[in-house]
Amino acid sequence: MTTTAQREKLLVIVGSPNVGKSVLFNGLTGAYVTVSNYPGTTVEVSRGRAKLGDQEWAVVDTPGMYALLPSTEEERVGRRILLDESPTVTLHVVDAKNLERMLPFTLQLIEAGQPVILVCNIMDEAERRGISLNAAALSESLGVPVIPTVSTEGRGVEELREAIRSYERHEGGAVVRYTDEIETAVSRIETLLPDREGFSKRALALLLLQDDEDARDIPDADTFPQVQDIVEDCARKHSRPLSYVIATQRQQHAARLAQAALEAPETRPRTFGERLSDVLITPWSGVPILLLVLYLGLFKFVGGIGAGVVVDFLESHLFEGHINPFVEGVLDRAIPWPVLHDLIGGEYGLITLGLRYALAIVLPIVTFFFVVFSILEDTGYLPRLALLVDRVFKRIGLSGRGVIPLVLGLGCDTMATLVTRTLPTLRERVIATLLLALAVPCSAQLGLILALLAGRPWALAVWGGVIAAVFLLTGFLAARLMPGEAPHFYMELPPLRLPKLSNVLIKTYTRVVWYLKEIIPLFLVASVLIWLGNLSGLFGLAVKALAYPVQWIGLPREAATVFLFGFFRRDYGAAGLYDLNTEHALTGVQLTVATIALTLFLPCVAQFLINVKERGWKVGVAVSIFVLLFSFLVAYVVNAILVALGVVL
Amino acid sequence: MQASHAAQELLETLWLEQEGDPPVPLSALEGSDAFNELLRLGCASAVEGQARLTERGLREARAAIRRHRLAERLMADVLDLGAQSLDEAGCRFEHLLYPELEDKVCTLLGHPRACPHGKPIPPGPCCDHGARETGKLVASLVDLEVGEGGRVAYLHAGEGSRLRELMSIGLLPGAPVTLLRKSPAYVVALGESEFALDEEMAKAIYVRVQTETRPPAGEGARERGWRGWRWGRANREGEGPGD
Repeated sequence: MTTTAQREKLLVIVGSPNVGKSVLFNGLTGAYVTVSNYPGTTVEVSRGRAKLGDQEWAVVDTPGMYALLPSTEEERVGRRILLDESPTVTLHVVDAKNLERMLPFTLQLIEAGQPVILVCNIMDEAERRGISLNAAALSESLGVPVIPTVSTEGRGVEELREAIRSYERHEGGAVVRYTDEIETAVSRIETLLPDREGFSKRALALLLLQDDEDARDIPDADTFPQVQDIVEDCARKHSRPLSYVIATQRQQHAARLAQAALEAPETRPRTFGERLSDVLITPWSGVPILLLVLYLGLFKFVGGIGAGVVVDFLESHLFEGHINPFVEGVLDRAIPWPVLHDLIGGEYGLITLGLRYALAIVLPIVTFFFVVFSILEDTGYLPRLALLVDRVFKRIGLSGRGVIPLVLGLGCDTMATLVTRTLPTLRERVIATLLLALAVPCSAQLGLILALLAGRPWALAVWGGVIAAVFLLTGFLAARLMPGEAPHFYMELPPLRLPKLSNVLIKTYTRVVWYLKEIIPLFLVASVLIWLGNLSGLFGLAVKALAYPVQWIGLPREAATVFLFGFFRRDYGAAGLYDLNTEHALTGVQLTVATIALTLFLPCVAQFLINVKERGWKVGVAVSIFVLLFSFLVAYVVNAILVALGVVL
Repeated sequence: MQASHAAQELLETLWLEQEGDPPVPLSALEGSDAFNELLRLGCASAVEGQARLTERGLREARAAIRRHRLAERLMADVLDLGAQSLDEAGCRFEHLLYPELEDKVCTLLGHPRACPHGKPIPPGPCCDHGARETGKLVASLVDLEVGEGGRVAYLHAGEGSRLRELMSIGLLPGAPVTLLRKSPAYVVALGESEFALDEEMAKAIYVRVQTETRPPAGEGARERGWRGWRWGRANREGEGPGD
């Protein structure tokens, strides 16, 4: 009793992704946590405090984990918490309708001697499918409390609070018996292990048998060879890997328990969500729907409302009409030195250019995109999109999983490059990085390109065709040239759901905040660099040098400035092109070629830095040089063909 | 050819050289009845102090090894025999498999590609026929019809990342699966969840077939009309950064 009184009570919440852990966490602590539909977007651990009756508890929400034997970084983090922090109560949250699949983890936790309470969440969905749960029987056979809940509606949460508050640890609980060989090996290893709080020797011995890397540190150095002998001896007696043998036997035990506790109808009607899901993933209906989603989401919502109406208002009305004249007026009166004047105002000033581009042009477009992306994420559409494109993506060296960073790249390539971390192999990450750098325009670019090519449907078609061809061709070649195993694809398809407005807004908000933190400094730095470049004359030289390739692709030499800006931010370049077009009235062909070159052109500074950071110097620089050369080459070829054919766009 | 059981066992031992085992030295065999029998039948010869299979011997050995491993598969998948009894029973059972029965068993088991120990099973004529539909008991997911399913019998995925990934989502022997679609990728219902898999992953999953565990797409729901469903709320999914 004294130990519990001295130490703070700690509640750790564990469970696989998509079982409602975070909602439960929020309900218990009242603290806010960001909600995201994708396993693997963050490895953050949320901590909070809860008041249960008169008791103060610390509460930890762990990243999603499927089993005690970790196969991802998230699972490793989750297990570390269980191993190191010795919780007073471990809440294992499961999706009630999938009890049979999730129960093996409960058994593992009990095996490990964790103070488990099993929470059968999302009971409403189970009930809707005609599944009923005998919690008392399950509790009896597991030897731990079992609480059915619907965390979103607060059902069962009061009972859960009471169960946590009055939890009393007792020995025993369900024990999985493995084959004789494994049981013998376990008891032999147990005698060699040191005592350890919070994690049973049996569980550690089983982890050692399964060749778990982290568990290897636990035996003392002098007994480790003996442990290893036992493990090898046991492995020799089995034809399959021991992890497979152990997992299989545990699964069978779980299946028996689940079947005794659950009553499910033999067959059930397919739900509307399931039938809609069918429509989304059948190619002949799924592809048109995808195009419709892109058209409505990107073209109409982001392009039309975001890049059109909102940018118009902020840019021409607010900045051009009020802020810029005001700033110029103040500067004219207060700062007599033209050099300093140009730093803040004028053509490339911090406020008149940097802040204007960041806040009036890019911010609204990106915000609108993030709204669309959050809605797609929340409905469960993205995994279905991944499934739909898997076969095509295999051709370009990616699996369907790769579609998620690429779609995100339509919002912000820099953020998307960070998200390529969720791809399982290095090969896929490099290919995705290359495609993002080259052929996936970000929303700021897209918005401006759509505005530039508005009213020229054929120019838009040529632009789209060339970018798509470059995307597929580059991916195809990269897949041929890059060494490594072809990717495999597996993904859970969560049930389709109507998105919840608050969720969408919160996700959009966190992404926009992230974006602003990244983007505003960069725009300001870019303004200063341009100012410095102009002042020192370096910029003039670079523009002169760039003027040649720019003229080769049939553009006026002034476009060189636009390309140079393009490096500081891709969208910056597109915005420059917008100005150039207003001043010079480019022809349709020139405009098309320019948009193609700018879309493919070198990633912005931020993306370049992320490429280097995520992929290392060699790959980061190589990707950038390739993109630089390739973008001009493609533009050159397209221009030559269009001119030779005498096309008017 | 009618070789004795002992001679067939020896054929299988000599076959292992084809799978990378060292050749068997002649000294270990000379004078044994089984080896003499193989020599007499023209199945083996002595080359540079080692026992080698002749062309005929290779053919016979391939058939014998196929029967042996099919027998093991049968014991493990259909009769659910444990590891120890597997070897003994398999050894006896293989000798009962005459050619036609052998192909029937192979079909029954869904033309397995490896024995329970992971060694390859040489394909027989039945495996090429494409007649993969009839009378199967255990079959790879890719050979099921949409709507068919059963419990996972075993995974044939080597020891690499594919096996780990399948295990991590709970696709383990004993797990209930139903094939929901084959195109544009495989979709299986695993319990009450759905997973998308590519062909390579689906190939690795062998199922003890039960028919019609769930009505195929489009049927069944009609009489309930639109009352049978309700949109869930996205928030239920929880999924904070922790998820």
